[in-house]
Amino acid sequence: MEIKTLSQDGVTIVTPVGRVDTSTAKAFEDGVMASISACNKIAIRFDEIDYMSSAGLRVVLMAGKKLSAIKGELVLINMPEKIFSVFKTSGFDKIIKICQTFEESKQFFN
Amino acid sequence: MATAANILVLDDDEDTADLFRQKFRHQIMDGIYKFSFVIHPEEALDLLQQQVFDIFISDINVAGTDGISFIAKLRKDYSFMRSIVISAYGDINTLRAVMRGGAHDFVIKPIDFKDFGDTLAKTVRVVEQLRQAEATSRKLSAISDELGVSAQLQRSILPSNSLKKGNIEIWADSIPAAEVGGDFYDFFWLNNAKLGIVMADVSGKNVSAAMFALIAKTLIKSFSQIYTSPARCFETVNRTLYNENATSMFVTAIYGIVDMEKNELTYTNAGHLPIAAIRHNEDPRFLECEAGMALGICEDIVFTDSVHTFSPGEMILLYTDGVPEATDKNGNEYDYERFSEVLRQNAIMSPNLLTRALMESIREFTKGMSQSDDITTLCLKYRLRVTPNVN
Repeated sequence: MEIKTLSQDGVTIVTPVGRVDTSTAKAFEDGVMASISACNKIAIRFDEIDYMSSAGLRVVLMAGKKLSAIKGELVLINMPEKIFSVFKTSGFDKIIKICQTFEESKQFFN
Repeated sequence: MATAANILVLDDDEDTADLFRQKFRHQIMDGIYKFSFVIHPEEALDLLQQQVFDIFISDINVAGTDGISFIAKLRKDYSFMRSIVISAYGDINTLRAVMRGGAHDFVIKPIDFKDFGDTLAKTVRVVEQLRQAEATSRKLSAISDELGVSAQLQRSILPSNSLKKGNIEIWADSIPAAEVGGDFYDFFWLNNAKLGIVMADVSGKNVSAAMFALIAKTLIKSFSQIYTSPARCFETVNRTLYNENATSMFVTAIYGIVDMEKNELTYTNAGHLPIAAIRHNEDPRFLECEAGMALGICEDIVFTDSVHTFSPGEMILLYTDGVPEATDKNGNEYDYERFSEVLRQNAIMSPNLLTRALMESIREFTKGMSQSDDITTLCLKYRLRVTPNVN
């Protein structure tokens, strides 16, 4: 798994690429946490992920908690239907902001 | 040896005792050797009953004409003791016979105490090594007992995997991907007519996930005794887990109560995959319900109970995401289409056979791939009780 980061309009967009499962969750976690330590506005982009297991959900949850503790913001963007269903099943869609596009997410970062 | 080597000497010549005490006085004073002297074989046997000896030294003639079999008997009865035979003659045939009979070494009279001292020291070392080997093997067997116990403890996280009582038949299975998995199932009687069933998946796959699983499992079972509603039970379990949870772990779970009087399943879902309901000649249905959030994430979550009414011979299957998300070597997921097909084909089977067919189908699909997630299932078949026809 690879993690791309990009800064745009004061927001760090983190894009994991490939599979997020038990074996790659740690790399995902490290990548997201490194971005959070540099910026408190984080968007995680999901359209380059093939698969995400509950281990990935935990990383997203931790990122959300960390950011809310430092008065930051987390928005998940460009989420394919398949991954959205993982969020929906586990109930995470109720506690984490999910937007179609980065443009749409901007309302939460201002 | 930490303690003195305990040596028993059998010789009808009473001077032998004095000679030994004199020749080995340094070793005796230094606590290296401890000698006991006897004149008759019967005395030797008596003393052997009372003490543990390392070395037995005997004149071949004192042991009697039956000296060879006496030595052989000692070899058999005292497996850690070694015998040294003293012979007045260089009768090679007798010596060969006594060595074959189990003596460890021999010396010829008149005794050359330099040579005898070496022989004795060497034999003591042999006994010492034997005892060490025995202690080690005892320790190893204690360790393997302990490992057995911990394996048993681990198994005890999962209850027995089958149950057959009244109209209910259950078969559960769990194939962990790593040594410690985060999946668990449970089933337990709440009273004579109500059975609780649980399927859960903890995020992560390490020891702390296994600990979290054990805590969650214990909480569900405990609160199931207090709350008759699965939803109320989960609300309390969730709050308790949330307060204990520093590492953002969570568990997705389903808890259902099978009521054998009402032929109903009342269940609640905390972020887990839906229950499959399997009926003969029908496509399996994945039971819709108000899905609550996974347990341990937010403090106050409201859960909702749903009710499913059993039809005769219907099966329900609870499972973890390891089933639909099993992946083949091309990265394709097993998915619900294959899953449903296996369930449909085995709808009239027993829970055991359906589970086996499902596992086999997943194994076939993922051939050549290492299993990336735990696969856990619990299948329950519900046979409606036929009311006896009383005329």
